[in-house]
Amino acid sequence: MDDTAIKIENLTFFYNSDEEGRAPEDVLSNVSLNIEKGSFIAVLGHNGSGKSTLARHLNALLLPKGGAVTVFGMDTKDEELTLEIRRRVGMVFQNPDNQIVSNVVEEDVAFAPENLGIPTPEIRARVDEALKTVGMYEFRTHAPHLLSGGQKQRIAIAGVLAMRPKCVVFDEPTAMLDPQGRRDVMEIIGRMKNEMGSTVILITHHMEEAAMADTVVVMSDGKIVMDGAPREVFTHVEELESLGLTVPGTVKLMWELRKNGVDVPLGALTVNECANALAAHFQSK
Amino acid sequence: MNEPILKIENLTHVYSPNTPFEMTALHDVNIEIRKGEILGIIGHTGSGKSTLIQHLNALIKPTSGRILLDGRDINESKSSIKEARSRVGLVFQYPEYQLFEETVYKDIAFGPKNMKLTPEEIDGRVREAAGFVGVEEALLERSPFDLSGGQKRRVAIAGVIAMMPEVLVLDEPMAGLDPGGCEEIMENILAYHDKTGAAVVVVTHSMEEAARRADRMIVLNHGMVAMSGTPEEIFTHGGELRRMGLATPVMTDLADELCKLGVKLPGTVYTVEQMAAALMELERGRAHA
Amino acid sequence: MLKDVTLGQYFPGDTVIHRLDPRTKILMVIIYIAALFNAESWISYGVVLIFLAAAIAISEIRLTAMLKGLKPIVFIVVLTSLLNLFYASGDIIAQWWIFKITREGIKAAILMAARLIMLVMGTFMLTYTTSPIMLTYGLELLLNPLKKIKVPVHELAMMMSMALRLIPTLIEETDKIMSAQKARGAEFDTGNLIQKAKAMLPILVPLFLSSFRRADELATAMEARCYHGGENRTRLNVLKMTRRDMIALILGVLVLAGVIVLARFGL
Repeated sequence: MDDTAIKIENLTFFYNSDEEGRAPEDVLSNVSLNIEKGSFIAVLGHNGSGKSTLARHLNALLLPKGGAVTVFGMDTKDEELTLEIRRRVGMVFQNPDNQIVSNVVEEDVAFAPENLGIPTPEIRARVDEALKTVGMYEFRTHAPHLLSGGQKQRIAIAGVLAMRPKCVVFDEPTAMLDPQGRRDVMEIIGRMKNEMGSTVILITHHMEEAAMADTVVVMSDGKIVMDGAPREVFTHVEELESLGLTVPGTVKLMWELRKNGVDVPLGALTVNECANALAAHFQSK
Repeated sequence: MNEPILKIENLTHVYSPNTPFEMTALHDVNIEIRKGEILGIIGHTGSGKSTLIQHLNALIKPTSGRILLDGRDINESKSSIKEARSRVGLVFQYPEYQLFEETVYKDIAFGPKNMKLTPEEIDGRVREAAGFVGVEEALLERSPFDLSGGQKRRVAIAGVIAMMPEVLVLDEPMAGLDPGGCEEIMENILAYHDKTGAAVVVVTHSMEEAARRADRMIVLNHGMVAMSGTPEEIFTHGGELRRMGLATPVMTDLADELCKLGVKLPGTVYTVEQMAAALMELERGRAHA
Repeated sequence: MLKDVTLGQYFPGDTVIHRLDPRTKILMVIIYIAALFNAESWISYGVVLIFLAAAIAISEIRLTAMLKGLKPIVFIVVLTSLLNLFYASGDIIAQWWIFKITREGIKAAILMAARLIMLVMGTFMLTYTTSPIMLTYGLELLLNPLKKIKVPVHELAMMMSMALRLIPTLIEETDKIMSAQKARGAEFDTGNLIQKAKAMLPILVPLFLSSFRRADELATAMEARCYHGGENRTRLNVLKMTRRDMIALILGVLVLAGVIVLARFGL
């Protein structure tokens, strides 16, 4: 069986030139990427690097101007397949306020299944299940606008889960949340990958979040400039900083220490890992 | 220690009193903001941060208690409110969504104009403010809506800086920006602080950035001041902060973890630089042993 | 604070009236209004009033909430009553300058005031006991037959529910923008009309821009969640007419019939 969830081949995209007739600039140029089923990919890049534009190609919200995007074997350019693609690739956006469509939590979560024409009893089952997954079941009859940002974002995730997608694209889902909301969302993403076997694509500015992924893809000016395991990508401290990005604090610390001649391993992605490596170094004779 | 410029005395604020929606947002809060200091105010969503800062320039009136600017109650009269609005500058969350003028220049000039300054003064203020946030001359005649997200944010901050406030209050100034953008905004704010000696109050739920340059920090929890002190003092209470739903700096977490593993560090660390310095010291100690 | 405004004025509850199908309630209001406009005498007014009072009592909506809702129409009620009072011909009871008060005038004034107040209260019963979503859904289903003559019923209903969804967000946003501009020294309550209108620009421009941005993002999010119009759409909550609804409708029709019959006999 084919293990590829999404295949991006030489994808090029530009927005049509404006009325002033300026030549369109490529927002994405020649991007190729293979995303395996069940993998967790983090996409990093400064504002305007083309991350979100790339994301919007994964569920046919945008169509390639050059190259092709194939989602679970379906070409996104085939309009007949648009709904089939979108039900398999869910998308969670940055601003929770601008993706909630209803005044009642459960009605909002039901929106996608309703659009898909799923029979009523099954919608109920899906809505309840999705709300339980994100821990918002008790709030099912509340009005979303009275909830906190983190809670709203969990509702938005439930709304996507109710489609039972195979893959979910998160476009900076934590950018507008407080630390608690951020932790909650990341915890759900972790469970989606580990327990539900979903393919997860996470666009983020938070290096600590990216460190949780299997693969980190770094974009700059519409191109993929780095691609590899977080442990590997984050060793390029100076290169990342020159792209307007940072590395997780723990990696930065190790890098500083090594620069000063302390022999510690560079790839410390979590606090635990870093503490253990440091303890091993400082307690050795 | 500098003398206080803004004093918050026994401030209590209740929303929708005597209705089923009654909610106490602030309860008996006492805070001093001192001349020229950088103060970090931290608290999770719903801790009362936003309500607090809107009291500082009389946008909201206290249910009880007072806010004193140089010893004078800012809610005393119309003129005292007006004075507070120009001396205490308030930059809201996502300030770029409040831009409205045709050009960057006009937008920055909005505040000074409302202060009834002369055209020459206004021109000076606009150029100076643009300078602080690194907005080049060439951008001044452009429409603010043509700028990038980070540039818009800086123009919006310049709009408040142009009023030359003695206290500059910013609510989550770095929210939603990429790491490079965050760095730039922080530098802009510090430039204003360093050049004018204004007090800066940064409200945030992320400790990392605030902690790096703050002289003092205040932690709000459930509408009350839960802690106040220097960052060193605050971060010795890592466990308590985490219980309040706040994220402690990664380096503080790391220091706690190292401590558990038996690696003792001198003093409290909360930045990468401090941690590196502390560990280098250990390394030197090892070399001598 | 602007946030306190309760929109749609829905008072959640679990009474028989709350549980009625929204379609039933919409039809009931139409029947009620028809009865009200057919009522001409004290007796028929009394019948309609008992009907209304019973509905209010069953719904457990507090009378103070009802009366509060009447505030905006006080002026209209007083004005129309006065006009009726002074411009009816008949037995003159009192006269002063060009004003004369007649027995018929007094009756007309009272009944007119009663009609207006009862009209508003009756429609409140609908909005107070039905969530805006259910109301929209009910309307959509009632208007469904119009689809045959190419009226975009689903789209209109979707627009209405989107509006309901966005109003609280926009109110919050307006509040925030106002505060932010006030912090920059803007004043909204001084000067003459033109100055005041000009002072609104710093609020309106950002508000419009952000509404467009929100609309755009919301549309994208809806598309991403497979929205493709009303075709083949199912619903989480399906409306079902029950015995309860039938009884209510029959009651309503009886009241209307009664009032019409009474009018036939000049009552």
